[in-house]
Amino acid sequence: MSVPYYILLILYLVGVGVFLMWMFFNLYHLIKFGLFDFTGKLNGTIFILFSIAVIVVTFILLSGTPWLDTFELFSLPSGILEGTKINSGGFEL
Amino acid sequence: MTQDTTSALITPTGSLSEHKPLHFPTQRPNEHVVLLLRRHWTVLARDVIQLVLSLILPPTVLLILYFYTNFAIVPETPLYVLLVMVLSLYYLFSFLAFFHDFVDYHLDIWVVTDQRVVSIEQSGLFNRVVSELTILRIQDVTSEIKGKVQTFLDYGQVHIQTAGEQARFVFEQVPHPSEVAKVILQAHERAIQQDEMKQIRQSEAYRQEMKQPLGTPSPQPMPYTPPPSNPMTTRHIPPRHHADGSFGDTPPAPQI
Repeated sequence: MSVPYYILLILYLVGVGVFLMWMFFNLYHLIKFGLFDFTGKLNGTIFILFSIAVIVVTFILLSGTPWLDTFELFSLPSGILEGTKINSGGFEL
Repeated sequence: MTQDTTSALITPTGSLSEHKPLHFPTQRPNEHVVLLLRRHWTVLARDVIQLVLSLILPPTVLLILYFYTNFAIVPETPLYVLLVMVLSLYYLFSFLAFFHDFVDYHLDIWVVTDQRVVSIEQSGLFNRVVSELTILRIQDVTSEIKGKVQTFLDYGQVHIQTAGEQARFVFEQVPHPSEVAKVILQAHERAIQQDEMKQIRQSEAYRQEMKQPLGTPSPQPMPYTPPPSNPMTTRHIPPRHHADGSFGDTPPAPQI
């Protein structure tokens, strides 16, 4: 069964969307209901910076992925040991 | 005694000095914060340890697989893409879980003011309970330290019993519970003193008002002037003629 790589990207972006939504709710509560003192500001800033760093590193690591190519879904477990390479010679539509 | 002096007198000192009075949401304009408490830092330390463990776990597992099995990730494989995405989401949600716990910890506060005790408890993001109790209604305050860890780190529970059958107010896992109890009782006594002073002042003012001499000239009442009659609406009644020849509105006195 062939699956295009962009499906993985869509699933990842859905996960990031859920993360951003929860992050927004948390920050909103911290600012609206809490005492937005030094501890709150420090933790909020560290959290935002860490999240940005993780997302940026992920996109750098995945920048060379040919998103329109496909891979065999059931070949993934065997690829763990064999290290099957992505066919990145061109876009096979 | 003014309120400013009162709050200054019951400002916590010593080991409670780090809980310096602040402002809090729903604070009244003339209200002075005596204590603002959160749970002990060990509650948050547990979450920090969990976060550190969850951050260390993936590289540890990958290193173990690398050194003890034939596992290898070639950068241009589908597995690599999948692994990068899964690890990215894992790290994001691990940190989100920690941040969620931090917000929960940060929003749980107990405030003692010169007028009331306020408990603000956040459980989850959409569940918030704010309860308060007038400081005059406090009957007794109990501090409780349970177990070795709480004894060693000096934190525990403070129970506030109120009049009536209301449930007890509980400050959970707060630092220096016995001193907190002392400060609450001090604030309670101060509030009672203030209340008594207020009552005395009111009764004195009333007595002063009642002591005013009776001979003091009262303001002259305004003479009554009837409203001008309207000739168009006023009916003219002619004087009555009585049997004895007199006339007028009043009947003649009976002859005995």
